[in-house]
This record gives sequence, structure tokens and C-alpha cells, in this order.
Amino acid sequence: MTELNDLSLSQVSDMLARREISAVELVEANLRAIERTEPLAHAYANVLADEALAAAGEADKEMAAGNRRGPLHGVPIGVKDNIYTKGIVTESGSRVMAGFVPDYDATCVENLERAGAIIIGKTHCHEFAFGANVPPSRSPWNRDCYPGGSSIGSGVAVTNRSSFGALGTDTGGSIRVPASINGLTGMKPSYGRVSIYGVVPVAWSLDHVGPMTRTVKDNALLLGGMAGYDPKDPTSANQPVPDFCADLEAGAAGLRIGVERDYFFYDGVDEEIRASVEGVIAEYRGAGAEIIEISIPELAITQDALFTIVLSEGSSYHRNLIREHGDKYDPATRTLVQLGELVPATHYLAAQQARRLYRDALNRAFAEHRLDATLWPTMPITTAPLDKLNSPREDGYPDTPVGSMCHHTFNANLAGLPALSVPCGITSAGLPFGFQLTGRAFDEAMLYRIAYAYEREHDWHERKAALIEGLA
Amino acid sequence: MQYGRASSDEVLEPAVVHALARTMGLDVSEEEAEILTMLLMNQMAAIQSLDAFDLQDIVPAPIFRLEGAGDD
Repeated sequence: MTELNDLSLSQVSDMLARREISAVELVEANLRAIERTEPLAHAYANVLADEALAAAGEADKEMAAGNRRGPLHGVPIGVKDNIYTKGIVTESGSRVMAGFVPDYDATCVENLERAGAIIIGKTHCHEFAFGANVPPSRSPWNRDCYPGGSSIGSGVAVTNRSSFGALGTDTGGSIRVPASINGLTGMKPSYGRVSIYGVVPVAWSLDHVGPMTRTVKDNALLLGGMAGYDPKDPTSANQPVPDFCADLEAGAAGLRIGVERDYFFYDGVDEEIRASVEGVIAEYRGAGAEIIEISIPELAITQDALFTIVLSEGSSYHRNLIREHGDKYDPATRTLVQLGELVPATHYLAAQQARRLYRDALNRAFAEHRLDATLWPTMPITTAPLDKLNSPREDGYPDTPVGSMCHHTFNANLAGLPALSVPCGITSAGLPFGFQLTGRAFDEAMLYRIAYAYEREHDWHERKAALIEGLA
Repeated sequence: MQYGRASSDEVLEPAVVHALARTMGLDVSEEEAEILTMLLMNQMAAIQSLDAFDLQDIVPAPIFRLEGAGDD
């Protein structure tokens, strides 16, 4: 018999709709997985067993009375610990926020709870999602390796099948990087698509909230439950929320996909990843998509522009906190916060000028070539051993793993465009990786359509991590 | 002495960074000032890379809204 945890979010959603399973059974199944996997991989900062079981009981009663709220009703999910949850400890991975209990929900959480989703726990993140320290989470694919961050626990929870989906946040790649490393689907939506009200900021102008799941359809369902205009969030966009699943089956024939090679296929890209993503491109061509080579020289400034903005905006948020609680910060985070205060305002604005230059260039490429999406690897590497993250890369390329990890993801945060990581392979060392689609503003549905055309021909999303296989 | 682009060639003394940070109210130790100095030099280099493009007449990107591709 198939273990409930092995089913996808959309599968259990369908079973709930048919009354073949109950929400309580799903929560109990996730709690069993948590009991098995947490001692080994540490996805959760806080497991909400009693609260989740109580919420599941209520969901079952509602559904039994014929009041099913939608596809997320009764489905347990994880929530990154930098996202406010009313009455539940939210520490953002930092001693600075130890014991902090918000008195309101982040809007994305409020939306999901209104849709009937059940929060099974708060997932670990790097301190304030800055990424300077490493939380206790370990990769289910190789416990010596880094599982990707800063949505580190969300990635591990979904990989461990101890939740059917999870929320992450992404300022420079923090959803897509752990998605790629864990063989998951991760969406950084358009800037403004999901409210950031009630989310501890890293950098206001770059922060996004998005879903991490095992399948494309799961991801589309979860985004649909959290998205929408929020008057409480000045960054929120008043855009209609479509049915993100509506065109999943439409295929890739006739679509126009741009590929940039100078930056995204540079010589720092791992050879197995390069070959696999070239294979993905060939498959789309074979499926009737038109592949268009594009050039965007402005990509060269994305990393420096983003880092300057993150330092400046991040330090601005921490300006009072660090003066009151400086001794509670992890030393690496504290250094970054201090550094940001020393960046001149003129440099911050130069970075915002560079950002516009890049964003305009990317949008121009979309317009001139009438692109539906672009495609490249999500990351140039897979991951690295935890004790070698800041050492020279083992393949000899002159960079560190940390330096390489977000090379391909920063740009989408600067542009604000939606970007989706889709699993497309596992290296000979047993480590997964993905490709990344970037789309037009607020056209996440197109990315899901293109991604699903690939996913339905492959089984990467069904592969189990070594840790899960070992416990089976 | 002349005006120029931000430079990572000039030597920045950790003592200067230490004093500046303390003046701004940051509780920076001398050890931390050494690391901060190195990072600040890297940051200067980052700005140099931005200067590879002509940013003179570009209005900085807006912070708070993305209405649609190409719009602000």
C-alpha cells in the first residue's frame, strides 16, 4: 500500500475531495514522518502537532458537512520561521527573536488558512534569512551536504515527505536554491504577487514569498492559495489571481523560449548539469517550442547590484535591533548588518540604477523576441559538503560553493519577474539539480504550463532522497 | 589627489573603519573591524563593476511596485 506521505499534495487533495481519506489521517502521516526524519535532518524549528490535529479535526467536520473550501482544505504544510504565525513562536532563526509570538498572521498564512490549509510546523531558516550562518538542517540526499537556504527547513521537510508543501521566502534565490538542491519545484513569484506583510524582511525591494513542493501542480495549487492583493502591503500588486492550473496540460508547442549562454552556461557550470539542461532545451525543441538564443550583457552587474541592495536595505531593517540586541546575533550575520551601515547611499542608489538597467534589458529581450519564458540551470553546481562551503570548489573552478550558489538566481529578484525551479536530474554523486524558467510579470501560469510539459515526461519529482530510502 | 571612481586600490586602515563604525553607534571590536575593512574593500570593488555601464541618466529602480513588464 502506498504510504500517504508518498502521495503529492494534489493527489491527497483529490482524495480528500472524494472523502477517501481524512485531514486527521494526513496530519498523523506527516507526524509519523517527522518522528522518523527529524532526528536525522532537522527540518522543523517547531512542530505544531496538537494545533495541526485540532485544525484537521475541524477541517474534516467542515468537509463532512459539505463545506469544502477548495483544493488546500485539510492539507498540511510547513511555514518558514521568518513568516508570522499568530500565537505561534516565530524566531526567524535568530536568538534576537527568541520566544517572539506574533499577535497576527502574515497575510500569506491568513490566505492559506482561509483556504483550509493546516500548518504542521515552522521550518528552520538561516538567521533572518540572511544566509550567513547554517541552521541544524541536513540534506536528505547526503547528510554531509548543505541542503540549500535560506528556506532550508522548508526544502528538507518537503524532501523528507513530512509535509506536502511548504512556504519559503526568496530575496536572492532562497526558494529556488533549496528546490534545486533537493529535487523540488520552487517558485519565486512576481514581485507583489504574494503579500510580504508579516514576513520578517531581508530587503524590502527584493523579498518574495513562494511555494516549495514536489510537483508542478502542487506548486500551482499552493501559490493559488497564498496569492492576492493585500492593502496592508505597499509592495502588493493589485493583479487578478488566475487559476494557475488552468493551462497545465496545454504543452509547450508553439511557445518561444529564450536561452542566454554567456552568463548562464559559463565555464563554472558543472558538466553534468550543463549536459542535462541542454537535454531539457532539446526536449522542448522536440515538443514544438521555438528556442531563441538571446544576449543580455547587463547580467554582469546583477550580483554586485543585488548584494549592495541587500546590505543597505537589510541593515536599515536591523538598525535598531542590532543596537539593542547586537550580542544575540550570529557573528557572521552581525558583520553583514554592520557592513550595510557603511555602504554610502550613493552606492545603494547606483545599485538601484544598475537594477533598472538590467530589468529593462531583460524586459526588452522578452519583448523583442516575443518570449514566453527563458530557460537556464537554476544553479551552476549541485551543493557542497557543509564544511567546504567557503573552500575552493572541488571541480577546480576558481570560486567557492557559496559564491557560485546564487549566481543564476539573483537576477530574477532584481527584475521582479517570476522564476520557477524544476527538477531535471541527479548527478552521479546522487545529488539532484534543476532548471529555471523565468517568465513575464504575473504570468506564473505560463511557467507552470511549460514546466508541466517537461515533468509529465519524467519521474525526477518522484525520486526519494537517500534518507527516505534508508528509512523505508 | 584627484576625483575618480570608487577604488579598491587605496589602503583602508581598519582603525579608520573601527572609528567610523563606533561613531555610528556600532559596537564593533577591533577584530571585527579587520573583517569589516576587507568586506568594505570588496564592496568598493562591486561598485566599480557597476561603473562598467553608463548609469548617469538612469532613474533608480522603484522599490515598491511591479505593475507589469516594463512598467513602474
